[in-house]
Amino acid sequence: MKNFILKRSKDLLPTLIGVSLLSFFLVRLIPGDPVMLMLGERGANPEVYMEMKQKLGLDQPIIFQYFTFIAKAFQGDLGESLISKTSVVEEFFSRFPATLELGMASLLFALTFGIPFGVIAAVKRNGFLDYFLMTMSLVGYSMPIFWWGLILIITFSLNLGLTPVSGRLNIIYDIDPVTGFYLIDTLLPSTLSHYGLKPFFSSLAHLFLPAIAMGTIPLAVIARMTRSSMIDVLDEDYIRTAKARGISAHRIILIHALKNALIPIITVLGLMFGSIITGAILTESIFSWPGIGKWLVSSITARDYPVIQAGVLFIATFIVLINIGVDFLYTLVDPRMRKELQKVNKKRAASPTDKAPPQNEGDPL
Amino acid sequence: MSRESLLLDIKDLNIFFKNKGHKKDTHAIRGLDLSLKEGEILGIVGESGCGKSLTNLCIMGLLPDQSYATWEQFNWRGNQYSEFKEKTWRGLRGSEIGMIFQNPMSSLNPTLSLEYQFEEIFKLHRKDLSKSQRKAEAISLLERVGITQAEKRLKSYPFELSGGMAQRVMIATVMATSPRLLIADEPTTALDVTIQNQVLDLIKDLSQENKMSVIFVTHDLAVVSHMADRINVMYAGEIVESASCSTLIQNPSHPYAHALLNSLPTEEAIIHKAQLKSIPGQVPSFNQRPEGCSFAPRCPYQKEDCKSSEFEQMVKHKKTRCLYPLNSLQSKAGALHE
Repeated sequence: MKNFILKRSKDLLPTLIGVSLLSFFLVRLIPGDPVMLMLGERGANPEVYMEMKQKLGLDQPIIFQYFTFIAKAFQGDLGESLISKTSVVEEFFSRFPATLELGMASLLFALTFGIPFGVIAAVKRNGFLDYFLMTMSLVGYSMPIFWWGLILIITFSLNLGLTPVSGRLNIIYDIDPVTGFYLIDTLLPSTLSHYGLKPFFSSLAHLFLPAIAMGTIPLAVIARMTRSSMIDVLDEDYIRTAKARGISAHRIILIHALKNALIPIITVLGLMFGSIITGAILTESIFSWPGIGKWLVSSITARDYPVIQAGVLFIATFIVLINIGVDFLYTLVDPRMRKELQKVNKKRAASPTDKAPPQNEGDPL
Repeated sequence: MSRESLLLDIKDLNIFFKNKGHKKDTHAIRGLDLSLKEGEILGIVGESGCGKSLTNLCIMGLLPDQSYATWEQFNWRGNQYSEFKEKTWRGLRGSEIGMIFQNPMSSLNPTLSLEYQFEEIFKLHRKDLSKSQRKAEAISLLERVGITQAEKRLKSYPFELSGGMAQRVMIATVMATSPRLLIADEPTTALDVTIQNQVLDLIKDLSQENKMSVIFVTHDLAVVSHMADRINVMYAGEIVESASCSTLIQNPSHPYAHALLNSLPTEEAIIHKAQLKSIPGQVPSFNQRPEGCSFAPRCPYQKEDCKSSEFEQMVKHKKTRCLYPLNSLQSKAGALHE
């Protein structure tokens, strides 16, 4: 396990160097000058302009700026926001839990409905239920998020009055953001003793609509993937063997088939979680969710270079980590991967100098 | 031969494939009779596409979705079944009839350990066993099929087994319920020749030990002659000849059986690197069967009336589905056989 993580972490460095290069130079290619944007009318004065530029270090040659950025990044300093003057790292970590909480909730929503839908469609292949579910998933997949989000708000919040319109928590509660995950924070003793369980349900209610809006497309993808994966697996010889053993149909579907069908789905899951995090921008804007999506969009409009660079870098790191996690998930479902891993580890223990055989199959990055 | 001693007795089995639209259903298996005594090993031979596997899947009640079967009689251990019912067959499948397949490697679920697979079977069919008994039973089954270090093996997954070992494990899982009938669908086709004989002997031994009947499907006459008491030769969905093993090998009466035997490589042919004999043409698909005898187009002895529309009537009461069976032909004409 340790070896596995170490080995996979080696992927992280080249990825980060690439991402840092891209994010650093690409933001500077966007037309627009952060100094002008900051100073507004005052920027017309060349002296003030130059002074500001020097203060921000933007007068240096661009290569020099890049290496300063990298050197500082290695010390854990990704700079300060040009606008708010606060540490970018701090800002990121104060907002990231919100996005992560929403992302995980939407993925949970997508999985709890997507997998059963896909399984049902595969079992009732070419039947009415199959066509119905697959048509619905195509509709879900084609739904523009901003429109779908608004429809959800109009239906559930405005017409039915079931859920709040926006934000993460009712403003009457003042809770201590220890972890940043409100579902956890509202259950901490300090909050519980003060308000009871109400804040928890409030944050749950706030999470409801954005999670559905954000999870709809993943749900559709998972349902379709599960269906085709299940159909492949149900045709396998070992399913026929299971039938010949007299094993009941639901056991064959849920254990013999689904366990094998999950393997390709896990691959998609990793990729999808990455796109959920980066794609949070729209959902967060609609539901005024204080996550990194909104933060990044506003920093792009303001040409807040350090924020964009750091944000992109963090998200890239996160996605690499997610993929390491996914590879680990494989080993839970697929014994072939698990044994492979044990073999590699054993070999390493036997001869530490021996290079481990390359095993990058299934690595989506 | 009294009715009681028969384990399985099927009369006039027909299997159809549904066609889309209003087309007539394809008649795949036609008027097949099959009977099996307790402890008997019945070989079914024929080329690919003759309907051997389909017949077996039908006995298992596992016909593909688009197909259905009708029969005049289906008698299993003295019980008559008038039609296919999933519920009835669930009671037979696994517990009374076991089946092993052609590709042992792909027939075992790759994500479930052997221990899990045995556990599952025991929990389903032998509810009286305790957990420790189940494990002991699984180990003794693995040992019985010749797997060494059975206890360790139990923890492994199918992909860690060789083909021969996987087929042994398949056999062990089937034997776990001591079935009355084992259907072996080309169980050695995917195996090395050296392993092949071991597996065949194992099946034979198990059959004798447990008085278990075996339906052994293969396209290899050499294999089946080693195993079977009786052989059914199938061609294009029909049984063309049914005879005891020795009769069929020494004195086949249907031209197709004869042709199959002839296509076996002889020792002489191997030494002289002679070209192997083959049967020209191929098995007609179920919906393109010629009128009259299905084998006629490929038959070296075919005559005018082999293709007549009254063929069915003419062969109805014959033991061999042929108007001019070879042994009678030979005795009359002498040297048609080279």
